[in-house]
Amino acid sequence: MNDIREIIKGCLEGNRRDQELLYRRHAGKLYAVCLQYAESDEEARDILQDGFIKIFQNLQNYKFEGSFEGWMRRIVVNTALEKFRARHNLYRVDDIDPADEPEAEPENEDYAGLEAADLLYIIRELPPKYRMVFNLYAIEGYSHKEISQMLNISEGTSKSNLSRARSILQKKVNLYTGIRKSIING
Amino acid sequence: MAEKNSNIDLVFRNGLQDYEVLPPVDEWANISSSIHAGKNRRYSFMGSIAVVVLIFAFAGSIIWMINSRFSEIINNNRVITLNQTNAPSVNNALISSEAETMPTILNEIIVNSKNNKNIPSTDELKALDISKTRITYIEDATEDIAIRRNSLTPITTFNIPNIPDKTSNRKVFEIKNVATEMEEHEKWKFGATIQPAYYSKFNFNNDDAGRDYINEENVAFSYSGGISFGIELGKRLTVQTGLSFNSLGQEINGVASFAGFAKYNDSKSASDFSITTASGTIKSTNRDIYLADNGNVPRVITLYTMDMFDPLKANLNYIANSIIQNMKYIEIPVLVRYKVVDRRLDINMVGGLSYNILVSNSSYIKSDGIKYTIGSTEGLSPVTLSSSVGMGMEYRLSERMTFSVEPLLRYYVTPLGGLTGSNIHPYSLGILSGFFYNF
Repeated sequence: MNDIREIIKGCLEGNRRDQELLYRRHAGKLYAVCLQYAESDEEARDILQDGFIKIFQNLQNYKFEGSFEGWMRRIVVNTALEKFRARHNLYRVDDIDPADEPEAEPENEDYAGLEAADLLYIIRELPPKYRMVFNLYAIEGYSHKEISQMLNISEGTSKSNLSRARSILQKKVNLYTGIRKSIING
Repeated sequence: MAEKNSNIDLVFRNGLQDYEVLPPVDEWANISSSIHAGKNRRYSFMGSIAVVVLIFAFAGSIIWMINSRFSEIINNNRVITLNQTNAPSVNNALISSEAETMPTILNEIIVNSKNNKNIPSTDELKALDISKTRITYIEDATEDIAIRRNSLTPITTFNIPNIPDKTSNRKVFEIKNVATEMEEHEKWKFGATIQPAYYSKFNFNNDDAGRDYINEENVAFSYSGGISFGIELGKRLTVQTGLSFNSLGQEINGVASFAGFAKYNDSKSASDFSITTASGTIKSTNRDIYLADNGNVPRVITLYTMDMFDPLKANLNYIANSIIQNMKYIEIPVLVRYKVVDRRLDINMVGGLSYNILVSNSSYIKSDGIKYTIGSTEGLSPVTLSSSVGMGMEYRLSERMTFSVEPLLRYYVTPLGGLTGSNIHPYSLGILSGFFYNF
């Protein structure tokens, strides 16, 4: 197995085999990230393509500090954010009155049988602004303050969108697990 | 709302953490072309043809212009000669008979008539290949006698002592005889030829499978080279044959290859991977190479499918996404060449047939200058028949040496190999060039 340092070195020297090797090692995980953020498969492909181009263009900036996969993932997420901002820059996502927040959905502790493909499918059904906030907060671990700057919204809107996203996701997860249980139990 | 990780957050975070979705197969090609855009762009086949034609046209124009310029200077000198009051009568006779006796002018002898220098003797003219020599008198020549040979620049000057009688008509007739004798001798030609070419295929059935296979088989550089014999059957007609070594190649795209498979390969079979191509089936005999489909056409047949064996998980080293298929033939051509324009720069039309005998074939992967041999193609015809047609130029370098350049379209009347349900015939477009010795 080629060491990642050697592959990166080869990529920096313009070695096409190393570039392709890097792509093939990480494309699967990064494409899954793209699908989480994109509004369509077509957009996911665009994000993956633009993301990898940025990765290769900025490879010399990677200082071997921290996870290389994490570094690539951040580039892909930022690329997805750029696409989102370009698509939604015609209107501002207005702050939502906290009174509009939905009631919390009772959490179901039984998630048995839910596979990653199901989770991806569910998350892609969220409205874009909820999906973006949920992804950035729950998956990537950004704070509401950071998300508000990334998406040009207030912290309150970020919190509210997260709450709505969780509520929708919880409903869908309950629905999925309910359907699965009924299938299993006949 | 409390900023804590909700249970649902953890479900999605943990569930999607290591999840992978394979992107579409052509995604890397898009990314790669974007990264290398403008650096190493692959030229299209038609683009290559256009470049070859343009280069040929440009070279032809240059030669034609030089030729025209040379003729123009000679013609101008002829006017001066005719106006000379002291020009010997033999010169006028010689010039007036040039059209009949000198179809190709290789040498030009310039005689300075102002200081009453004279032309060389007949024997000296013979030594200069008088059949291809023009004599011109001019008033202001800087040399006493100069010879121009295929050039506008005088390359030899000399003085001739004991000049014979310049007014004698005898020389004219002797020169004519020499010219006739020389032409009769040049009936045979022997030479060496080389032909770089681009090779591709037609599918006459236009079936989906055949079309898909051909679409992912890139044209590749091919070449042939050998010796050639010719005989002139008339002033304009030549029949030519010979023996050539012919190498055809193509690049099969969409087949990913990985090295290091030998330790996982427990099969007793001689070949674990077969690759279907438009020209036959490549049987891999290299037990260390794992092959998998990575294109739009499924062409790899194996028990070790990606469902059974993942080369990435097994840490195999990725090599490339294409395979080179190469076939070598001994070619016996019979070409007929007709001289359309008969000048110093001839224009020829060429056509004929060739028998191609398969002598070897191989398939390999090439990456970073390293060649990994895969195996060979099965189902190739041992003998194929091809037809050629073209048009070219032949330039006379000296009395006996010629150089020819002929763009040639070759079509294979019989296919190289078989693909069930398809009717695929290869063709190539190349430039046949060679040096010939005439005797």
